[in-house]
Amino acid sequence: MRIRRLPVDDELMIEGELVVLREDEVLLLSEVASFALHHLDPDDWTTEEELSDLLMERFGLPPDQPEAVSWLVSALSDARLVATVQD
Amino acid sequence: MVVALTTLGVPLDLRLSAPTPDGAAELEAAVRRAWDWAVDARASAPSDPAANLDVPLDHDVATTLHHLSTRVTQAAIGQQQGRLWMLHAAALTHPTTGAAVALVAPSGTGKSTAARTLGRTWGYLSDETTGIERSGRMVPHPKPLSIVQPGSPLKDQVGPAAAGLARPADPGSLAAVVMLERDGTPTVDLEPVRTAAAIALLAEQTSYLGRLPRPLSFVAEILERTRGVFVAHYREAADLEPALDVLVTR
Repeated sequence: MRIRRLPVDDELMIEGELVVLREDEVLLLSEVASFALHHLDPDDWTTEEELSDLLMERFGLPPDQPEAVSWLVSALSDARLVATVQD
Repeated sequence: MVVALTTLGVPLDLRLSAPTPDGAAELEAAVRRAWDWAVDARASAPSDPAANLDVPLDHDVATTLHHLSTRVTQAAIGQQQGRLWMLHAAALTHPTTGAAVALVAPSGTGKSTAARTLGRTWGYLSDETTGIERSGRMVPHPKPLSIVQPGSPLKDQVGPAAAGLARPADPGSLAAVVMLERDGTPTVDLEPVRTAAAIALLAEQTSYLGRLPRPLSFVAEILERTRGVFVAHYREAADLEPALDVLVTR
């Protein structure tokens, strides 16, 4: 799977937490989701493996690996903050 | 017959009409009483109206005032979109320091009661919608208090002077935001809220957030100059006063 950021109306990082305004809705992301979204490129695709490596480097091995990154991407996709395509 | 007022920083002309001259005079007197401080504000700083509202007598004066309150607020909010952070909150200024506090709560959960109770000593700015400039300066919306009358579907619209509220010499600057949670806590507990979480929570109580320039930064800048955002767990509105006093004067 590859992942790309979708545009938002505004965003603000405060002490590691990303606040996002999208279509009149304000979302507060967890620290992990904030880090992931912050490191995704709106103009280029990132593979799930690349994202997983980034998160591992920053936060260590999640206890529910390997599904954790998929769940995170799914949540971001449900919030329409990322687009995904299957390889 | 025109009643000119300024509220939320917006000069508005209310064009009143009624089937009879006596009815029109009664309506005008009632509107002037209900919006007395806003009428005074326009008289002290005359300007052309930003908008006109046609206000025909609707059944009776009480019904007309009830609907007028909503219409004036909506008109003022509409004019200030993109300029002010407009928070669904009551606002008061401290009686000695003039520091302002915004009391945020959904409709029907304590704003008017708090404004009415604390506003006898604290300066009354609004019981419903609070306008805040990017600098943190408060913009008063001294609308009549909407007071529930038992057995009536309408809320009485009582002007700030008639309600015995204290008139602030200056609207002041925002010193704290307090989200009201009337949960019966016997001793008021002010629970701090992280700024990021506060912005997300307050967004739900903000009008036209998306029209502000860089809206999240706009709000964050204002909050950075305050003592913060708190959830107040409390039982009675009067219990809030000592806690708010400490909060904005410490």
